[in-house]
Amino acid sequence: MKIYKDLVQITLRVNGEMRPVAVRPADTLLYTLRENLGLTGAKAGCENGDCGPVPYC
Amino acid sequence: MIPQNITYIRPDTLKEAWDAWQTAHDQGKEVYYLNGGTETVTYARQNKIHPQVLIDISRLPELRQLAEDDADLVFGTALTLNELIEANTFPLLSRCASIVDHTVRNKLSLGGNVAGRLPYRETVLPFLAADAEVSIYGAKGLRRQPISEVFSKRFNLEGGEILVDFRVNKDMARFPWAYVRKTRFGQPVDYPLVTLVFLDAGSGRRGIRCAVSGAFAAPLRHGFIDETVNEAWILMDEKDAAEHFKDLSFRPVFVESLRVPFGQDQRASAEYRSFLFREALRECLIQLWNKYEGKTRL
Repeated sequence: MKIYKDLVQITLRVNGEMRPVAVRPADTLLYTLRENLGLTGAKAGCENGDCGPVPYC
Repeated sequence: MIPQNITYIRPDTLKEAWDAWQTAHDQGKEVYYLNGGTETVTYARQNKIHPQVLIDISRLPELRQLAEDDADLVFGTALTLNELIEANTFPLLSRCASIVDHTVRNKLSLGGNVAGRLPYRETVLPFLAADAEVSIYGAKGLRRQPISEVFSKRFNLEGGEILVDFRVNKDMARFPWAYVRKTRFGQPVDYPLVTLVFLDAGSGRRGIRCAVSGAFAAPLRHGFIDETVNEAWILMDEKDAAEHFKDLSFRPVFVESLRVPFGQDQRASAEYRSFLFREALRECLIQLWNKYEGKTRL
């Protein structure tokens, strides 16, 4: 069983670079890219994950 | 994204999920099972629910079953609607699962749809019509019950119980069926004003089972509807069918006899829903008749 709470330290491979970030379990990948890593190229869609343009909308 | 901080738990077994729910509940936390997440995430974002603990049951193997044994087809509740449609082992279920759009159906789970907060829960209709069995995991482990014992307007489960799967007799999946769905302005992607299914279970002259959603406050299977439809079906056999289609109508007095109030909201009045329901009954009968190509069913 896996349990995540509070901030979790993970490492993302973004554009070929390994980027360590601290994320909450409730954060989306989009939010992490935009707010934690400053990569604002990806835009929000429905923010539910069900509208389909990208898997992390 | 869910605005508030949550604890995310992904159990490996049903027991772990059950224990995690009980622990969070005993600590006074607001806890939900997470499956597809389309409803949970939406409501959390809209501040309608405030989850503190989410238990992700979407990968539990028991809930991912799409299988068959000697007698039954098994549908795990973590299957997405698209998985049900693509498998097409129970065509009436596939038809009922063809709601919303393709991308949402990639996420929307069977369990989330049948046990959701919205009143439509259309994928429960084929299970009601087919007298399915439901597997539920609770304090005493796994148990199976007929759907009629646990579903009345919604699934009546104890706190923390998990809907694991539906079991449908294989014969039920092969019987002729009819389906009519009516929405405002006929929009394909919209909540239904009426969704009606018929399943001709082939037990002699009175084999049609009906289940309806949208028209009333909750999905419904009603003995009086079954009875009335089967009487109309028998009359269709005895009369010239083409002639009978012209005359076939269900009078308002029939729906009044149901003693179940029609839904009424800004999308449609109760009178309009009553009218659409009676139209849907007629259309389903004609659909079923056409499936037999006019051959007698006796």
